[in-house]
Formats: sequence, C-alpha cells, structure tokens
Amino acid sequence: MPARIVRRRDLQVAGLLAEGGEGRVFELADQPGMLLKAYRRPVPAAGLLELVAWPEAVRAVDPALAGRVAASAAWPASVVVGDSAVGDTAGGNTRVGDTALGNTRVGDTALGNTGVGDRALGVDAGTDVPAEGLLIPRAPRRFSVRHRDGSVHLATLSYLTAPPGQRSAAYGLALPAPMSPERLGVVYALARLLEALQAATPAVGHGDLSTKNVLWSLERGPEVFLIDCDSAERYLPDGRLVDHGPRRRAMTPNWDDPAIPPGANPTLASDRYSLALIFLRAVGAAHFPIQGRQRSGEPLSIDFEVPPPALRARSLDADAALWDLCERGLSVRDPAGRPGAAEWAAALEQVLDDLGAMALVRAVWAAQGGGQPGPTPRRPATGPERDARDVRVRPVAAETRETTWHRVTARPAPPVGGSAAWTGRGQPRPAAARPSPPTRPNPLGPGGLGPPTLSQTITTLSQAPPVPVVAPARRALRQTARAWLGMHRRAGRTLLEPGHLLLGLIEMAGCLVLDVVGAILAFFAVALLVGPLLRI
Amino acid sequence: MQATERVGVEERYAVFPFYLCLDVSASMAGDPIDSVNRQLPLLRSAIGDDPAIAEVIRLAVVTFSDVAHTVLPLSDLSLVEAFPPVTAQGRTSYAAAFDHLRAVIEDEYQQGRASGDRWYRPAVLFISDGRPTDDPERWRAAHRRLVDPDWKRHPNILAFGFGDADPAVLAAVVGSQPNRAFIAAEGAEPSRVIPELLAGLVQSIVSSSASVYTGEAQLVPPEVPSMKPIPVDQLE
Repeated sequence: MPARIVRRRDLQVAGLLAEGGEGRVFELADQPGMLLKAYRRPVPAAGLLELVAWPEAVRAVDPALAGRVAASAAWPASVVVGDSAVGDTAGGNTRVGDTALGNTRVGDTALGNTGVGDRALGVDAGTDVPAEGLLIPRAPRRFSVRHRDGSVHLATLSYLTAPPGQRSAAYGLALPAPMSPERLGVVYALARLLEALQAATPAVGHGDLSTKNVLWSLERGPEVFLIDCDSAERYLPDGRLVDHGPRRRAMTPNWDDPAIPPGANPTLASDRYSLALIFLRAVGAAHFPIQGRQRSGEPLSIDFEVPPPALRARSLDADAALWDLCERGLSVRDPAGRPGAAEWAAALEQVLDDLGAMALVRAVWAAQGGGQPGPTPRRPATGPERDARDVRVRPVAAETRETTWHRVTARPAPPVGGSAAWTGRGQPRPAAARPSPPTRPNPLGPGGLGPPTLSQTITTLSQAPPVPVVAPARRALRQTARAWLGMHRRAGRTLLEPGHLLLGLIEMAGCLVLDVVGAILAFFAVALLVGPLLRI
Repeated sequence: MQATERVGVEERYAVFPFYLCLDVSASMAGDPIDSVNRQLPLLRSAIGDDPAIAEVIRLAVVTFSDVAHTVLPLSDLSLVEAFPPVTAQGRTSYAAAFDHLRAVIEDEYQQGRASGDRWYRPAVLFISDGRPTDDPERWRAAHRRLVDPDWKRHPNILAFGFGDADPAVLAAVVGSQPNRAFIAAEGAEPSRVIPELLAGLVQSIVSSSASVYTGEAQLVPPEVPSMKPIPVDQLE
C-alpha cells in the first residue's frame, strides 16, 4: 500500500504532461504508473488525506466495491507535502501511515472529525498543513485511441458521441454501431463504478462526469477510467457535504446539470444526471444537445433509435425500465428522483442479457476486480405518472441513413499571372503524395473563385452528386476475375488432394458449368454489340 | 405536462464558422509565407485532432493578392487531409478579399443550411502585412458590402497586421470597433510574429468552441491585455 503522505523532494519529477487551471501534471521518472498533480497554490492537507483514505470506507462496506474504484478510477493515492510540513514530531512516512490507516480513525476523519487527521501529520489540532499536490494513478495505455496519422490521444467520450462513420472518416477509427452491446457495456462499467462511489459512507459525488474525465476502452472488454477524482466531494447520508469549503467546482459546459443554477456547485444528484446523459450520447452515438432547452424549462421528448431487431427485446420495449431510468435521470424538475447508479447497472445488465451479451457483462466484472454476476430480477417500469414528467424518452426503430463523410483534399491556388517562379528562399513543398480523389465542379460556382476543390459535405443519397460509373465497373470486373480464378484454383487443389477425388471432380464440374454459362452469356453480349455494326 | 420538443439523433450542435483570410501578396514571399506554411498544419491538428473542438468549428482558408482564392472551403478540420502550401506573389487587393468573402460566406451558409447545419455568426480572421494597393473607394465599398448590417450573415471581423500594414486601415476593416484589430510591434520579424499570431488564433478558436457548448457562443479574441470577448448571435 503506498504511503499516504510523501514529500515533494522524495519524488523524481520528470516531464510536464498537462497544465490546467488548478495546477500542472507531471510524470514521475521512477513511477511510470503514477502522476504528480501539483497545485498552483497549496491547499489544506487534511481534506486531501481524507480523500486519499476514502477507499477504505468503501472496503468497509464491500471489498468488491473497493475493487471497482481501484480498477476504474484515478483515485488520489498520496498527498504530496513540502519539506516543512512533515517535521520531526511526525517522524516520517511510516508513523503517519500508522495513524492514518486505522479504519476507525479513518471513519472518524471521514465524518469530519479532523483532530485525527491533524494528529496524523504530527501537528497541533487546528493547524492547516499545506499540501502541494497529489500522487494519482495514470490512465493505462488502453484508454487511448490512435488516429490514422499515428498520433495517440486520450479516449474521451467525445469519440463515442457522434456517428461512428464520422469518426472513421476523420480519424480512421472503427467504433461500434449505436446501441451496440459494446457501447452499452461502457455505460454499464461506468454505472458499476458510480455504484461503488454512491454506496459508501460517506458517498462520493464526482461532480464533473464529462467527456474529458470519463475515459473508455474496449480493448479488454468494455471499461471506463474516471479521472479528476481529486475534485470529488464527500456527502453525508442526509446529503450534506462533509467539507463545507468555499471551493468552486465548475461542471464542463455541455456535460453539466441544467438543474444547477449558474455559479452554484454540482450536487450528488448531478452525477445521476450525467450518467443518464452519457447513456443517451454514448449509446445513441449522437450529440443530443438538450441542456439549453432544459434550462429554459421546456419539456423534452426524446426519440431514441434502436435497431429494429433489438426492439423486440423486453428490456428495450416502450415500457422497459431503461427508458424510465432515462426519463427520471434527465429530469430537471425532480432532481431528487433521479435514479442511482445501482438501478442503471441492473437495467443495463438485463439489456445486455437480452441482447445475448453476457460475455461483456462478465468482462466488465473481471476488469473491475472480479466476481460473477448473479441472476438479476427484472424491474418493471414505474406507472402512469410517466405522462407528467418533464422528460419523455421513447424507443423508435432506427432509420437507415446513407450519410457519408468525405475527407477534404484541397489544392493550392494557382500562381497569379506571369511567371510561376517561387520567390522564396526554400523550395515549395510538394503536396503529400496521395492519390487524389476525383474532383467535382467548384461548389462555389463560376466567377474566378478558385480551382475545383472537393467540398466537404455531409450528404444523404438524395443530395449526392451523380454516381460515378466507370471506376466501380472496373472494380467489379477485377473482383469477378479474382473470384473466378480463385474458384478454379481451389477446385484443382481439391482434385489433387488424396482422398478428395470425388469432391474435386464435383467442384471441377461446377466450374465447368459456370464456364459454359459464362461463355454463352459472353457470346450473346458480343453478338448484341457487334451485330448491329455488321448488320446481322 | 405534454412534452412538445422532439429530439432525435439527427440534431447536432450549431457550428461556429471561421474564415481565415490571408494576404499572400509579394511582400509575404520568403520567410513570412514559409512561416505560414509551417504553422497551418499545426492549426489543423490542434483543432481537428480533438473531436470536441472539431465538431463545433468550421474553418475556411481564403488567400488574396491580386485576386482571392478559396484554398480550403469551409470544413470540419477533422476531415481535412492536409493544408496545401500557399505561395506569395502579386499585389494586395482588399477589394478582392472582401468581395470573395461576401460571396463565399453566403454560398456556404446556404449549403450548410441545406444539409441541416445551424450557424453562429461567422468570424473573419483577416491577416495582412501591407496596405491595400487598390483604390480606397473600391475596397471601402467592398468592405461595406461585407459588413452590411442588412445582410443577415455579415461576419464579425478580427484583423491582424504586421510588416507594412496600416493601423488606420485595419481599424476601418474591423469597423472602428475597439479591441478587434491587432498590430505587431514595429520592426518585429514576421518569422517571429506569425507563429505567435497563428498560435493565438488557435487559442481563440479553441476558446470560442468551448463557448459554443455553453449555449452562449462568443468570439474570443486572442489573449491580449484589455481584450473582451464579443457576444455572438445565432443566425436564423
């Protein structure tokens, strides 16, 4: 178990990884799996120590829940203090560890009795020891995506919240279809993690479940990794905050809770809104820009597209619990009625079971500390009061859309009159050697507005330009030739294999029939073309 | 309460169009245009590589000297393969730039509308290293057409000058509004100014993209002391 308090000077701080409003994040030369988050201004260590010790409170409820936090969250592991904060009376890390780690002591501290926390640092009660930062686990490499150009980026939710075709065209990523078991699995993994945060006493509200803070991976089955946990708040069972500091916690725009007035901090209910919103966008693979409307008090009616075969599943029909959770989770009028993560986990498990994807459920459990899912009782949706809700969500059959996204390859402007001589010192760099896609007429019309360029369009078939004929015909001819050759080769090989003479003869006969039919068709085709010329 | 607004997967964020309008007259040849060509790919990747930024920003690149050209039509930068290198020669016709922008912005607005895009008021990022070589009345008339308040798509303009650019002219280009025109310090090397300027534009575009998500989009100028963001309205 790592020491709860470490001194800055004992760390081998390496390169700067990121910089934000709160502080800077550094790599550690001797601990590749950890990062140093250094605050711009020192903060009281007592509160951070309690945050660091909080997973013990989860373990006291259920060790399995604690495993989910360890596997799926960048939970602060140690508080980093300056040299003056840890003096002789504290006696160094071991002694601090002894006093801070006893469960009852942690329980006292977690409920706001800061005396123990103070004693843990060897200072007089009431003194705020300054902390310079935190040691935080680094997101494993699998929570990143590699773009087509080889660059690597954190796998933020934004990759999931748009049609996969766009992300394929833009970055070369092959992402699952909307409403796929994999997407459901990611939200299921998040729900199970939040279930752990909400189950402990004190409960934890992250407060900013946004695209940059919820990383995902499908490499070993659906997983999430939650970052920025040091901004989380702890809540007493009656909903009050454990720490009543003046700390301002802003939610990320577009991922924020519309029930929170401007300038106010998120609440425990805000995480519940976020989970519903993440389900909508990540599983629906769409923007769903709803908060503006919700802030203005408008009721909302959401059509959530589901592939027609999946609509037959009981857990996805119009009365299913899943849509009930969406409606209550997205409610602005009744934030207290938003369902907890446990309800989401149960409902999503049911959906995945109905879709034949229990293997993904087991993969999520395995990644989050092990264990096996048991039979989940099917939850009914709640009753007629649904009509009075400010948010209604109904499943509708997904439409087939032939939307395409085109990459844009622009061409340089031609030189203006006179000589095309390059007057610069260096040589003009040639355009990247890529095959140019066919150009279309300048969409900006005539009038000297530039050379033809490919226009970037999100087109539906009804708006698409004339379909090219020659290139696809050549492609089809090449594919047919390859298939014909392959068939004959295979038949020949089968014939030569010992013990497969009869099979080989049958395959050869099949090839012969096809050859005869093909020859007859070719004869008639030629006759049709040539006949009129020879007046036959 | 009856729910009235139906929301489906087709509904997308409104987008913020930026038109980078770049002087490529003969005075830009050499180090300045080399510097531009080095910086543009960085701008492309800074915006295009982050899906949260790219999906609410559209960028076009227009160059002008004697005539104006669209080097890159208004595009989602995540779909842009590469910026072509731009070359410099010719004179400096502000009229050509403004007339071109007037036509292109309207055309691309209509195209976007036809495919279901919603626009915030476009921003023109006008960059020049010299005085206009055309007749003042000609370019002022073209400018008036571009900023005509009766034209619903009239853009907000930020102007950036270095080299021989005329501060008074740039002030006129931005409609004499305060804090929208920037001039590099006298004698500053373009090869130093241009990277700072393009980096500032990236920061401006990124900050503006964040504001789109708040529902109250703002054109955030590059960070300069005493600069204020300019509120931006959504077009009909």
